[in-house]
Amino acid sequence: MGMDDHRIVALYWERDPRALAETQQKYSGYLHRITHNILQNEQDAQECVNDTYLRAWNAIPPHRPQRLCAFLGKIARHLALDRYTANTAQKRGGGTTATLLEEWRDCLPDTAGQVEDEVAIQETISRFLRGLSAQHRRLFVRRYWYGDSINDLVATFGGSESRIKTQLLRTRQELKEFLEKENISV
Amino acid sequence: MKKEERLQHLCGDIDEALIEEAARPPRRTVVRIWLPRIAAAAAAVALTVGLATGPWWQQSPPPIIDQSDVESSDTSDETGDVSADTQTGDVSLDVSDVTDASGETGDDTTTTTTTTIKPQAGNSTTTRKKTTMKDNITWKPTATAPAPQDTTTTRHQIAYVKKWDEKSIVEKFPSFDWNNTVFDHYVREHPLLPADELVGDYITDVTATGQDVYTDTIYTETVHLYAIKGISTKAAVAIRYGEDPIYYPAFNADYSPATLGDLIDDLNLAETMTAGNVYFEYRDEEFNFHDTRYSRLPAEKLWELLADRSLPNVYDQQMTFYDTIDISVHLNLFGISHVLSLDESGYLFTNMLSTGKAFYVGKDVYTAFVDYVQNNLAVESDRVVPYTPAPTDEDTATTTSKGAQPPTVTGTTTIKLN
Repeated sequence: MGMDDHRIVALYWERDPRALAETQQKYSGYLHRITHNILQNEQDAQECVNDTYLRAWNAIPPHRPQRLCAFLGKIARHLALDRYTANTAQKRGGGTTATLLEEWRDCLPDTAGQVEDEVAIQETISRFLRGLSAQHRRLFVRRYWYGDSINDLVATFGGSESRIKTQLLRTRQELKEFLEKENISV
Repeated sequence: MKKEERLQHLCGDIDEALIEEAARPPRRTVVRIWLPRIAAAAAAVALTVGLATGPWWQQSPPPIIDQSDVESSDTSDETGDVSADTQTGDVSLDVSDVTDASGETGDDTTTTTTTTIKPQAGNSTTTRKKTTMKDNITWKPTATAPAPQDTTTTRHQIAYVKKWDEKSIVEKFPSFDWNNTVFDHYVREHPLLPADELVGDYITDVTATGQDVYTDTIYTETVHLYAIKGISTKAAVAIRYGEDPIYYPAFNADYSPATLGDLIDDLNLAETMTAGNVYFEYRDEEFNFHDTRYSRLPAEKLWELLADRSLPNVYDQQMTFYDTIDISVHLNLFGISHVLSLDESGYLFTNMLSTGKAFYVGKDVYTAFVDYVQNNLAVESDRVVPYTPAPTDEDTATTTSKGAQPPTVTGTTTIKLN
């Protein structure tokens, strides 16, 4: 169950080492799943999780995350993707993340838009997701943010593999159209 | 970097609420069972299911949640935080031992939510509101258990729901609809005084409903609405219950001014607002963290900050601010304090009337304001958190003390330096 997030954040602010212990106790599984989904390598995944604790320690304060779970998840995901990129350069990549990248390609706008600002693009993606039904939104985030496999999604959301894939494909197409409509350039 | 890789990276910084939402187990099957007489027991069962439900990374597939008696109007749902004690009939909000589906123990519920107990049979609402600009979570349990004898709370209960006769008039009828807008009393026990100077023209009468959640009885009360002199009725009105002579302020729970100028005019801030202390959080050159309270901000400086009345209100519920400068402001008319905050990206935002409002003033304004505060206001207190270096592998093996030493993590994981 773990300590209340606000108390954990307070421990970080007090520079109390228990912040890390509590974070590990509560979120190690969550973070490991994110990093392992991307890296498909136990050692690399665990190192990214460890690095996440370190980054959190350095970031809080000054940050006071309102959603510690997502805050840590973002750090872990970025670290894992960076490592994935490095691994790919050393021919150690592949697997689910390569498949995900193929799927991301479906979302790329065909037209050359004017908006290149990263924050604006992130906000546009968030806005698009908020416009989806809760079920479709969760499915999309679990696939493309958490990197869940199709089998995991079937187990979690129910239905058949083909239904999950079809839904994800539709959402990717919708995102592509949305980005084009919003004049986004990637 | 390829375009798809860039898009994948950009997706990493989507709204944190979406990330958190996806971490929760999805709703699977909704089983409709409508048995009012056992509704309280069903709510308790739903709570038990919520307790047993682990986060998705620990449990797969997630359990089926029976929501026949616990519904949610928000994406942040699936928790069984409302419980009905089948022994005593007490209805309470339970957060101390509730783990929501994301694995977090009552985080948002304790500090950031508007919790509404809203029986399904009837259209009245009993609302307990906490100042927030964040998620609203609404539960709708049906509680028809017999009236309790024991009014004490247990260690699991953070909010004892008063019996009808124990409530003040405002607690009985805390909100009402007017012009399709729900008004809510944020200052429940703060009468408008002197009423003859503050209360303006009579507007209309509306009917407020209240519910005794113990007996499932609906009550109604006439509410007389009046303007408050100098204050826009879009933001607030004065109200009076039935024959009760006391006037209370009632605030528009959805108040959202179009511009900074509208906010200033609607609340007549030029006459009703005074500035208090300034609070600044920053790191010094040695990376020590400071939480500093400065002396009261002069009025002219406050109004300099609010000078551009044309700034549009760009607030969105999903926006996240990292406020480093907080200015305490007091709305004297209503006897309430709020904050005006600046974040380093250049947003000025405030929780006045407990709704979110944000205006982009620019980074230059932020920088100039910080400079002014540090060079012109007196430091009244300065809490310093010394910088602690990041832990090393060696440290993790030898140190456990608090603060002065690098932190350690127990268990099998060690902290690794870059």
